[in-house]
Amino acid sequence: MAQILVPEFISTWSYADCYRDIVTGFSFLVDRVSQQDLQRCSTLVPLVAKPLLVPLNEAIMEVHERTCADNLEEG
Amino acid sequence: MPTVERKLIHDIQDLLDLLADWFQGLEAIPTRLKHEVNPLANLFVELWPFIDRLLTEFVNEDGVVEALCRLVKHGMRAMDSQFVPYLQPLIRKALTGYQQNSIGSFIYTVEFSLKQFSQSEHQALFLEALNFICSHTIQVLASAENCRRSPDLVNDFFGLSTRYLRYNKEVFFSCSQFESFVTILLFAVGIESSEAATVHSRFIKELLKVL
Repeated sequence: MAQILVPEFISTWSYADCYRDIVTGFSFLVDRVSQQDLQRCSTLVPLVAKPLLVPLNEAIMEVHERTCADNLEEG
Repeated sequence: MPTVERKLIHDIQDLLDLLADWFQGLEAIPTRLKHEVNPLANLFVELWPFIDRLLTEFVNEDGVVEALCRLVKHGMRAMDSQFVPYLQPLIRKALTGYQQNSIGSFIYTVEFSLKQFSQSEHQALFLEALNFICSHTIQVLASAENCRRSPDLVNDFFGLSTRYLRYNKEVFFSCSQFESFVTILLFAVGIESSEAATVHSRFIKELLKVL
């Protein structure tokens, strides 16, 4: 999981079928684990979700910084 | 907006859609829980500031709002009753967003929230939401021509109204903006979009059933 879900790699993903399949696969895995062992499921959740949040946060920050810079230039 | 920023916004949209797909697949988690903490609860603590920030800073980016709306819908289902602490802030955020950018995604947010949490303890919140949406929508859909120009909004507005009738008709009939509501209902008669016309007539049928 850690080999595939590397934030730098995920940051290059688009909403294309191949990447959706990877995400759906991990979703299926976590869901199946939840049926056996909720504790183990709790440890898997951040392993899948956090690498997706890292590039999301970076993209938000970059838009924010660019908007601030544009506003300063205009101001 | 410069191309680089447009590309970044598209990336944000894609990541939100991927996260939504991930939540969508987590069907079994809520059914497995009895008194345990939802395994997604801690993740949601981290996710909420993103949602809050995006609904503030990207409120005019329709694509981001749509993707976010889908993410919250699936996240809410997977979190089930443990989403309750986020319900009120979400609805308030959606209403503020709707005031700033009158797109159907904000109405749809209230709609799926109502579907998930139609119990009595949230009636006041959903009444507030309906009153606000009616009073604002009457300004946007202020004529038959406006309804024709915004079929998606007509669709979402009557989709929401049908949901209120089905899940909580007491709240629907307590709406203080009922006059505005009837005005929109009349303006939307004969709308050309087949999808919006279907939802509009479905609402009328539902209304006639409960009257």
